[in-house]
Amino acid sequence: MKLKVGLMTYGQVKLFIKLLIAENNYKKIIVVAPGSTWENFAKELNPIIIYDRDYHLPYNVKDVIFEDCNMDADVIVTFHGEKMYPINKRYKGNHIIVLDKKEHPANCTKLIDNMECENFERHLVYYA
Amino acid sequence: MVNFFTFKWGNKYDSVYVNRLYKSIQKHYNGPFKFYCITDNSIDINSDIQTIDFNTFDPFDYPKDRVWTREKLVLFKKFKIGINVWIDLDILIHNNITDAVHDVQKSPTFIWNHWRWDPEDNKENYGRGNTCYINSSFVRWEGNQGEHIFDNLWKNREYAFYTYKSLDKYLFYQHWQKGDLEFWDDGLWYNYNFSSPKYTFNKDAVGCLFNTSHDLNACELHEAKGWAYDLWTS
Repeated sequence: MKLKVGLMTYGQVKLFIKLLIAENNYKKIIVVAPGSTWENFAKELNPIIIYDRDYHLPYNVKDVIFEDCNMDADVIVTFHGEKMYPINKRYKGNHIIVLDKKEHPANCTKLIDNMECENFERHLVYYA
Repeated sequence: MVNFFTFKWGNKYDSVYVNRLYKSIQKHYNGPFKFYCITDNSIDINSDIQTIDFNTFDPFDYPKDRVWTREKLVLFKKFKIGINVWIDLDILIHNNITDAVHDVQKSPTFIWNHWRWDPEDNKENYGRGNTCYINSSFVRWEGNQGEHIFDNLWKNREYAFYTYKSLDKYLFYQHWQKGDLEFWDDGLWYNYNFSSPKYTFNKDAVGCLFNTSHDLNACELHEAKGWAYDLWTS
């Protein structure tokens, strides 16, 4: 899947992800790193599993980069891709990766404005 | 025989720091020990201190500002006999550490930032990757207790060096929750720059951290006034 989408709002990202899932007829969905921001939307997607490294949140607590996880799905939807090693390099398959464009000292990504940067290839959408 | 280690590279600290740390171990540890300094410049280091070449010590081919001070974990791999302790140069030991050094623990023992620990802040910021309550300024291990921690970093080096800026943060996120680390009791260590009020002497603690790498405005040991400077130079 080749996606290359620029700046979007939170609401636009949600609509766009739903559209991608419908267009590609994805049935088995795995969600990664929704945090608390995307909690409701992540559940709306009716995923087979939700992984998050934050042990305070009501998900399957796993660091999917450092731990081997079951990623058998039609698509892996990763929120907060800016906080982790590019998941598309860690797991093969279809990815939708959401990056929060706000700068933060704990981000792994450095130059989100540069679409050629990092290693996400073209599996990403932006979130302003 | 206990092995003590410290690192000195670059020009942030000079040999005075190494030699004074060595003297403080002589003064505050009761027992035979060896003292090693892993350094890129051994000029003016006390001849009783054994030096190890820093330039060939780090097997990781990644920028130094990623997993900052990862060289410490190499000690877990190279020194797997008896009791070992690594100590940062910006630490002031001012009471006897013998009991702490011989306190039997099942895992490597690190400093917990009790002076900053806030469960609510951790709950708020853990997921953002923004918290870290581990300090690796004074770490004790016995035998091969820490070897798997080095092995884990080696195995996951591509991910770890992409993700983490500092060793302490790497340990906090990858080993703390797994129960791989022990921590010194609250009160054993305190922080010169981050305690409240600042610069207060704690006579019951064994030592004081300066932690200047966390705050550019923090006071270094050689800049300290009063009791801290007096103890450091005594």
